[in-house]
Amino acid sequence: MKIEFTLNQQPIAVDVDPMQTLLMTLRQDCGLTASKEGCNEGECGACSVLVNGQLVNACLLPIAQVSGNHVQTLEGLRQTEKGQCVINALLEAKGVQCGFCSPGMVLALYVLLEQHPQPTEQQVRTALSGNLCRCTGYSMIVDAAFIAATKGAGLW
Amino acid sequence: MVAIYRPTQLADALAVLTNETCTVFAGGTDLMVRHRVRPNIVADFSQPVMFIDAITELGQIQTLADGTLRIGAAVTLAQLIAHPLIPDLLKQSAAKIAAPALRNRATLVGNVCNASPAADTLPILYLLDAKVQLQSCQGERTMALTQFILGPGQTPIDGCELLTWLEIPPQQFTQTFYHKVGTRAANALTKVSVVAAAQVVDEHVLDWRIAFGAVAPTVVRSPSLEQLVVGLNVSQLQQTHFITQLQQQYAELIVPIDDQRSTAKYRKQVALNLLKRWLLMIN
Repeated sequence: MKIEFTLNQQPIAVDVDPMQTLLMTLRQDCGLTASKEGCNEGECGACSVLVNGQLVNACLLPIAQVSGNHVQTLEGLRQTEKGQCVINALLEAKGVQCGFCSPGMVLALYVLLEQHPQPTEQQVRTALSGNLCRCTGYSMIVDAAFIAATKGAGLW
Repeated sequence: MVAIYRPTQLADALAVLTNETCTVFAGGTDLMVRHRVRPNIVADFSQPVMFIDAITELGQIQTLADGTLRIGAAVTLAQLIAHPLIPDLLKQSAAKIAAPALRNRATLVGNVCNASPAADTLPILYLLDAKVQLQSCQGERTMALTQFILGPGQTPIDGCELLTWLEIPPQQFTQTFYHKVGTRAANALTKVSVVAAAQVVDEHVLDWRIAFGAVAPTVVRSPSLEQLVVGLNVSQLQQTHFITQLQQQYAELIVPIDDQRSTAKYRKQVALNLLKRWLLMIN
């Protein structure tokens, strides 16, 4: 079935099973592999992408429901000043080790800062609560949120 | 490949359901897990899928003339939490479900239709005397939520019907209580949950309610036991012998099971402890 949507600001059409997930479509049909498959049940956040600006688990979203919507992945976000701000903050805070969760973390932090330019620690932890990281222990990722808020002042 | 429908009009959805048995799919956060096969294989849905997320009418939250709150079947948990009309207790329970990305897709009505004994929003909806409206091409019917939830995963919904609206009658409380016990703050399924509300004026209890989740096949709420508390003074319901007696009466209704998340013994003890905590909180 032909499905049309916008991917990182570009219109795109794919011809796939409408129940195929957005994650599978991104990785296999669009060649965008930043979003990862972790748990495949909406708990780990490694597959996080933005649909119409909202954070979603791409592993649970059939491509049929993406029809006509705007998808943004890490590949698109990294081209923006805000995306670079979050990525640099994660690097500075050493919030990346194996890197598997990092694409999802960048998107979750981006959404957080769009909603709360000067977040509290509780807001940061709530925003990251659906993104699991088995390496860092989270503290450095929380630090990255504050670095991005400070260094990106005026951006958010 | 199964047939899919993604109408924007409710009438179109009902017309399809008249002729075909479909899996109704709103946020799909439970359905996709239930029907998944393995990585890189498309989820296996055995019958046509009716997506209702694009029906704009059902994405609304409205207040009717008599003050009744109506929540459409496509309203997500995130929309619910952000909406000014939604009672705080319902927001609290919705905010305890999973994590932000999931709440951006998952719906309140989906949580209801799953009819899980551990559903996070069911205890509060029982407490608020919620009703559900079922619509089909033949007409519509409204029933109390307590009649809709028959058992784990069981509802009386007919294949040609769609649960379109959830209704909450207007009500006033002076105090509320909500406690969910899970393994962690986010992404945890409930071991036991307790939600309660009361209206107390001049130390006189005019209304008193409590509902327990994940301690029986369906939510436990007892109007007859609640009537034992209504009409008392706060000092009376906080006497030790009264609390013990009420705990014993509720203990007969609280019949949890052992499963991978918790034990029956733990669930029962915690539920009764939270009943006591709620009674002692009232002022």
